[in-house]
Amino acid sequence: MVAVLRLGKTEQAITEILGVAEHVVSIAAAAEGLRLRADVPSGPVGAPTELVDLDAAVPAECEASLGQIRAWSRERLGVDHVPAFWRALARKPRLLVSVWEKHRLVLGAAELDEDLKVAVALAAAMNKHSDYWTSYFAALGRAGHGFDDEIVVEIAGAVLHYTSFNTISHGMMLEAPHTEIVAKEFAPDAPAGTE
Amino acid sequence: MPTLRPPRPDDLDADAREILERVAKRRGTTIEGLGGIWKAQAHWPALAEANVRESSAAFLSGGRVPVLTKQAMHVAVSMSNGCDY
Repeated sequence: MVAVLRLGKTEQAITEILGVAEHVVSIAAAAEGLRLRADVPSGPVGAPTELVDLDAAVPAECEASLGQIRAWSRERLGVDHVPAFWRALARKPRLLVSVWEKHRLVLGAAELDEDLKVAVALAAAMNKHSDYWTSYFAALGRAGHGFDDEIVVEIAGAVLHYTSFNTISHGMMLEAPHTEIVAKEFAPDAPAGTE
Repeated sequence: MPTLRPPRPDDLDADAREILERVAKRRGTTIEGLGGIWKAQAHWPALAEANVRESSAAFLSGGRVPVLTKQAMHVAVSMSNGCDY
């Protein structure tokens, strides 16, 4: 966390990273709970899930959101279908709208840009062993954020390394080196001796 | 409270000292200034050495993913793994 601040970012940037992480963890849990098979960039053989009927008629109040998601998916993911995750949430229109809006918010540019956030989302999906979202975010990265095989493996390598060090810190019960962090104390131009 | 007390600087064997000095130099600090994550591995220098190499290959220079993005991924993965450190 401190390393991000030393690169000139603020508390909002750290909270944006938290937003991507908690969102991906939650949608990964839901995709696994719904037993979804990856359908981005290409669909599975057969239905993406047996748990809910994705071909059933959707409630009328979902049509605008699904239309928006279809257009976004065509433009940003390069697919001509609404991904199964969003079709599944359409059984509960308010859930679909709230999750989709949050998805756009946390992955959209703010202090941190979209290229970074898609890489973070892919790393979080890999870390949570989510087949569905790993395929989805890798496709999103390849379609519009410059990802190729080397970048995908580099992100997997970073996840490997962080998981290794997280395990060391858990296993040895290491104490956090910093608490109640204030960004300006770690900014690149912070006076020496403020740590 | 850590599970194991890390070796005190005076107690480090030659291999562990050489590895920690290398990591400290790379980070612009001294062994005393290194974080606990490296000191915790000093009881088995071979593991520390393996992780220095892994860290260099997976995380540091030479890749195409920007440093800020890598640090952001580190934060995200650590948060989702519930890592206090």
